[in-house]
Order: sequence, then C-alpha cells, then structure tokens
Amino acid sequence: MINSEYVLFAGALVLILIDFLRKTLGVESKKSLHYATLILLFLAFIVELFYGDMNLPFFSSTQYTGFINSFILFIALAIYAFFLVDSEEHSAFMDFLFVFATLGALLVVISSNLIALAVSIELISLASYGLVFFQKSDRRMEGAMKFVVLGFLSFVIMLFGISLVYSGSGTLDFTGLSIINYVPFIGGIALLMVGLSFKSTIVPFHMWAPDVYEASNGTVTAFLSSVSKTAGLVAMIRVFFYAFPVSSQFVSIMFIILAISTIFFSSFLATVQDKIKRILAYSSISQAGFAFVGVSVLNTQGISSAVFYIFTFAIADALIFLSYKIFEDNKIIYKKDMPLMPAVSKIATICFFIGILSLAGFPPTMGFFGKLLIFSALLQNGYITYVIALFVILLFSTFYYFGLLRELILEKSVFKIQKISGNLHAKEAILIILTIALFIGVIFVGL
Amino acid sequence: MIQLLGFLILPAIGVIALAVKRLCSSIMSDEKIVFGVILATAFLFFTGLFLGFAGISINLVSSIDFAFTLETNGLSIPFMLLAVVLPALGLWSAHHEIKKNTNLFYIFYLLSYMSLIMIFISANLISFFIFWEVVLISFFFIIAFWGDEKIRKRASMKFLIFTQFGSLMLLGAFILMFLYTGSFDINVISNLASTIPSPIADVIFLFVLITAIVKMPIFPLHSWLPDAHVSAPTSGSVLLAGVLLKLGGYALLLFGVLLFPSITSLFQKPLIILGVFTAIYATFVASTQNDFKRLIAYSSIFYMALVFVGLASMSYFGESGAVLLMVSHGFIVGMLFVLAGILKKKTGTRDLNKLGGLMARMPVYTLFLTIAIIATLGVPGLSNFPAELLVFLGAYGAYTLSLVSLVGVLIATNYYLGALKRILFSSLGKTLSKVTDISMSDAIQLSLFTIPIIVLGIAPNLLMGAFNLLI
Repeated sequence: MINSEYVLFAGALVLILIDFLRKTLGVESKKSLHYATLILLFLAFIVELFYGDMNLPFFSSTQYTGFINSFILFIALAIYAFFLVDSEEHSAFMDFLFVFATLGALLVVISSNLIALAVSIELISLASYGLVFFQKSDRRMEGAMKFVVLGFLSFVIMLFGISLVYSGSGTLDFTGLSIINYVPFIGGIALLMVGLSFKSTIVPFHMWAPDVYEASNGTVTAFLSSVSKTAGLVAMIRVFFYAFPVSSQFVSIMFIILAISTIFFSSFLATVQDKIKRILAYSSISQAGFAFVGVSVLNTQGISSAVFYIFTFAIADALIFLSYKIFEDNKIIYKKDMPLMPAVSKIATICFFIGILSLAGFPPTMGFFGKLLIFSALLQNGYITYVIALFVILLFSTFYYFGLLRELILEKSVFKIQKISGNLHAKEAILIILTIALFIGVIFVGL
Repeated sequence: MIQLLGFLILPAIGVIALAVKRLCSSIMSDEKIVFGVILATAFLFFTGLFLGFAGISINLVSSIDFAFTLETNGLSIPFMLLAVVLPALGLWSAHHEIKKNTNLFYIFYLLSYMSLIMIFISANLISFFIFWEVVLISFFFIIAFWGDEKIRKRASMKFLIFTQFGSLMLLGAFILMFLYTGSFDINVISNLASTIPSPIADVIFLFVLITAIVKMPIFPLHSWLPDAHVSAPTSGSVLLAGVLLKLGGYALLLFGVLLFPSITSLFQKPLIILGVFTAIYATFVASTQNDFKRLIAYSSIFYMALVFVGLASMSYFGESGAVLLMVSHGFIVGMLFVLAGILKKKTGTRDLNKLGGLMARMPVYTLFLTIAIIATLGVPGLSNFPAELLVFLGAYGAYTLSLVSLVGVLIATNYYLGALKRILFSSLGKTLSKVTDISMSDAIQLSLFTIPIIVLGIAPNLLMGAFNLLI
C-alpha cells in the first residue's frame, strides 16, 4: 500500500543518504539534491491525490484528511519551489527539515491517538526551529530562541495534559476516548487545549508568532503561517471533534469567545503596527481565530466550514508572505514604503493585493466563501449575537487590511530595484498559480 | 432577445483590454476603450428595451446553491437605465480630471460600471453580493487614490467601514434567508418568504433595514456620505450619488418591503418618522454649508430620505414614486456634481463665500446651473415633480405626519436658491475676473444630462410603465 507519508519519509531518508554519498564522491553542487526534493514533494502530492486513505493503529483517515493533506502538500510544494528559485545555494539540511516539517503536518492530520498527535506536532516543531535558524536573516537567533523556548514549553504543557487524560480515562486512542460519556479529565483537556493553542496561535498564547514571523526568512514565514498552522488547527479538530465528547453548548460558547477575542486582539494590534510583516503576522493570527470559530461550533457544519476556511487562509497566507518576500528583499519594510511595490514587480503587487482581499474576506476570492460558510454554520446553530459581534470585529480587520492597500497608490518615482535574488519570473509564476488557486478553490466548498 | 450576459462580457473585455494595455503598451488610448465599451453596453441596453432580455443560469457550486443567474425582475429596468447611462455621462469629467494613473482609474471605473449593472440583474444572492462588494472595493480605491489630497485617506476609510458594515448586515440577511428557505435564488425566496418563522423574519428585515440606512443614507449612519463626496473626483461623485446610493433603496424595496410586507406595515410609522426626521435634519445641515459639493451631498441625503418615506408608505403611489425619484434624482444630482466639478476647475474653489457674479462671465454655465437647480426643486415639467408628488401622495395616505417633510422642500428651496444667488448673481468676486465660460464638450455633456430630466418630467409614464412592484 503506497501512501504520501511513506513516500515523504522514504524520500527524506534517501535524500540524507545522497547527501552523504555526495560528500564521499566529491560533488560540490547541491543543486541536484534541491531538485530531487522538489520532485519528492511533487511525487507525494500526486500519490496523495490518487491514493488517500490510511488505517493503522495510530494513524487513520477520516472524512476530511484526504482534502487537507492534498492542500498541505500543494502549498508546501509551492513554497518549496519558491524557496528553491529564491536561493539555489541553500544548505541541504534545509531540504530535510522542509520535508520533515511537511511530513509532520501530514501525520498530525491523520493521527488518531494522542501520543501520535504529540509526536507529529513535535516533528513539525523541531523541523521549524531548524528552518527558522538555518537561514540568512539578521534576527534569526532571536526568532529561533523565542520559538524554541515557547515551543518546548507548550509541548511540555501538552504532554502533561495528555498524561492527565490518560490517568483519567485509561486510553489515548481517539475512538476509545470518544465513547467515554463522562469527562473526568477536564484539567487534562484544558492543558491540551493550551498546548494546541500555542501551535495554532490562539490568544492568549499567540505572542511568539509576530516575533518569530518577523525574524524569519519570508519563505519560512509562509510555511509557518500556512502549513504549520493548518496542522495545529486540524489537531484541534481531531481532538475536540473526533476524540473528546465535549460537544455541549457551554464549550462551544467558551470556544467562540476565545476565538472572538483572538480576532479582536490581533486585529486591534495589527491596526497600530507600522511594519508590513508584523501586520501580516497579526492578520495571520486573526485568520486562525476565524478558523477556530468554525471549530468551536463542534458539529459537522462547523467542522466542514472550518476545514474550508483553513484551506482558504493557508493559500492566501502563503501567497502574501511569498509575494512579500520579493518586496522585503528590496527593503520595503514599513507601510510608507509601499508605493514602491509596483516598481519591484507588478505581478507580485497584484498577487499581494488579491491575497489581502481574500484574507479580508472580499468576494470574488475564496476568503469570502470561507467566511460565508462560517457565518452560515454559526447562524444555523443559533449564535446570532456572536455573528453580529464578528461583523463588528471584521470591520477592524477591514480597516487595517485596506489601510495597507490604500498605501499602494502608484507614484512615479526614481526607484531602482536593488536586488532580486533568483529568477523573478519563476517566482511570479508560482505566485500566479497560488492566485488562481484562490479563485478556483471555491469548487471545494461543501466537500 | 438580448442576452443579459452581454452586460458582463462587454465591460469585462474592456477591463481585460485595459489590464493588458497596462502591462504592454498598445495603440488604443484608455479613453477610447472605456468609451467604446460603455457605448456598446448602452446600445445593448436600448436594443434590449425593444427586443426584451433573455436570462441565463449557470450552476457553479451546488452545495451552497451558488449559481450565476441573470434575469430581469420587475424593478430592473429603471435602475439599469441609471446604471447604464449615468457612468457614460460621468466619464466625460474623468477625461479632464484624472491626471495620474489614468489606466488604473478606468479599470476601477469599468469594474464598478459592470458590477452596478450586474447587481440589478443578478437573481442569485451570492452573485448579487459578489458584485455588491466589487462596487465597494472599486469605489474605495477611486476615492483613496484619486480623491482630494487632504482628506482622501480618511474619507475613503470612513466610506469603506460604514458601507462594509452595511454589506455584512446584508450578508447576514442573505445567509438567514438561505438557511430558512434552502436557496439563494430570489424567486424561490420570494415564494417561501412567508414561511420564514417570525423572529427570524424580523431579524432579516432589521439587517436589510440597516443596510439601507447605511447605503441610502439615513440619519444615524449618514456621516460617510459628505466626506466621500467632497473627496471623490467628479466622475466618482456622479456614480456615487447617482447609482450607488440607489443600491440602498433597491435593496430595501426588494428584500425588505416587497419580501416582508407584514413586518414593514408593523414598523411603518417609526420608519416614516425616521425618514421625515432625516429629511428635515439634512436640509438644516445643508443650509449651513459653504462648500457647494458638500451642500449637494447633504441635499442628496434629503432626497434619499424622501425615497425612504415613499418606500415605507407601502402604497403603490409611494413606492413607484420612490423608484421614479431615485431615477430622476440620479440624473439631477449627477448634473449638479458635474457643474460643481466645472466650477472648481474654472474658478479654483467651491467655497460659496468666495464666489459671486459668475453670470456675467459664464452665461452658458448659468443656463445649465439654473436648469439643474430648478429641476432639483421639483418644478413641474421636470422629472423631480411627478416623483415627489407621488411620494407625498403615498406617504400622506399612510401617515399624515409624513407631510412634515414638505418643510424640507421649503428649506431646500431656500438654500438652493441661495447658492444660485451666491454663485451667479451677486457682484463679481475679485479673483474671478479672468474666468472663462465652459467649453463645447462640457456643454454637450450637460445638455445630455438635461434630456432624461425633461423627458421624464413631461412623460413619467415612460418609466412608470417599465417596472412593476412585484419581484
């Protein structure tokens, strides 16, 4: 039985082997290795499309896993292609880390046991620490340090929660947990929730995200804010929808309030930022909050709307961070520098524009349909007041998103492009593919 | 039969042509492309009036009933007339006014042109909402990029936040309609509207009402309009006052009054009182304005308040008068904004205190300004008269207090004639001695505006026969 996870794992081992052989053979160029990684990710994507399901004791598929894994691989492929075009001379170590982080995300989605979940999450985290650190950036040390400390803290809290759950229930298997009709391990669930909130940047456990995102290289930020965050949110879906019998209105309302405060605080903080990348980082937090609104409804509609929303914002986040990478290389850091964007690349500016529109939830991009599904799930379950609260908070986010776009006015200036690392046209092609995906992804509504 | 899809395809071709031209230069100028597209669309519309329109339905995503359905409903024709004709007339001003990034401006202009037409013929609520939002985004950028240097940033953001609030309310109403009728199709919803349970129907009506209050705009949520108008370039103002404000009236009529008549009659008196209050309030505020454009903006709040009163009256007279008033006001206010734009271009200011005596320098301009102001005051024979008459007749039948809004007409007469006097008739201002009269092309543009005003004034039946108050 062939499966994308097997492909990635075997491929990663083969890559390490080739890297060793390369040194003994005395081949200096790492290019072939990078292209092999790209082909590996592509192969995994194809395999995922045609052979989906997996049923092992610790890992099993559910209704949405095929879809989620496919889009995770699609985004990872796009990000890696961009990364490859951007810097052809990066260390081979980055390739393994990238593949392992993607593998971890795929495993989180299909894990059906709390231990498997924790291990998979740690696989992404360890690989991401490396990704943040082993790259060319002035502030990599600061970012990696914050990331490692807070990441391990959250992991330990999560493990503690899992152990409490085990002591209360005697099982860690999701199917075993879901048939328990009492909740003796509420403390364990709460700690687990804290650990998962760290990973998916839910307020008040979001504070590492802006710093780490800002300190990282643009491609790594794109990966963290799309693929890693998808994994964190899907882990929440697995845990709170498939594992624990927590579907009561009280829990739903508690979660919705958490989600709304996430959106509120991140939008509020984004309005006062001056650096573009920090605004984008806060926007990424608020998107996670939105997806969490869908999760918190805790029934089938809520989950399917959340899955679709995760899909929309993952693609849009990858798109804006990748296109911002091109501008960041040209020292466009602050909002006031934004009029220079079209001088660097017109196509990247348009892609950035469309990505922001999608994050702000404006039609005809996919972001609108994501929000439509979430509102529809909320209204169907009678949370009208929360929908109105969300409407009001959405205005906040509209404010800062359009505050960014408003700066894009084109001035005729004597701006000289400083440097474009790699091939600009290839990068633009990748951005265009992601932008097209933002429009035609709407056909996946209701999967 | 004219296929309604043409109204999407023609402007879309224009947008694509402009976008391609932006990336690689070509021989055709921007103005020629836009003007050609708008002219072709207008030709399509007037041919369609004689041959009839054919609808189309393409199912896109069946799980949320997202289809692309175009068909005319009873209200489409008068609003389409506005949406097709006014942008063509407003474009004339853009040619002189927009100096930088013209290409991008025309892209946004055509996008909003296309979407405004599509809103009036979309029968699926999701595609309706998509075009509704495209208009909003295009206008945000028209104000933010080409607006008045001093206030464009603030005005554009204010515009966006207010109207986006209204849009979200409308989205909430649409989702609730979908959840309780199982469809986003207007025809299905109008058949099943009576089966929606009572508290939900109230909420839907409230959401639609808030949308209309923001968009039209009515008293508590009106403050975005004057800023947006003062900041927007003339062609943007024409579109904003002429068509965009009418979206509120259209939405209220279609999704509020016609869909939930029982709830409307329940809230009839408060709604009429709100409309009357807004009318009086707007005229008082307008009386104190010195900026001519701001004065027009406040006075258009007054007329939209009359529309609101007419819609709330729930009588045939009131509602058809409201539709007629929206169409007629669209043309008149468009003409006034063009005149204000010319005033700014010729004299360098719109401040009424600095103007005066221009009649001696600008006789042709005087003629058109007088026509526009007389038309807006509702003199018989011009298009506002039958519309206002019908609104007052309908509203009087519904609630006697509505006649208080006649005081508004009185005050409007005062400030409009005052403005006329201050611009044209007093002694010539010191700085104005070198002002020249308007050019031939401006005169042609303004006389094109007067045609519908006079035609609709003499024969309002032409328009009254073109719509019926059934969905």
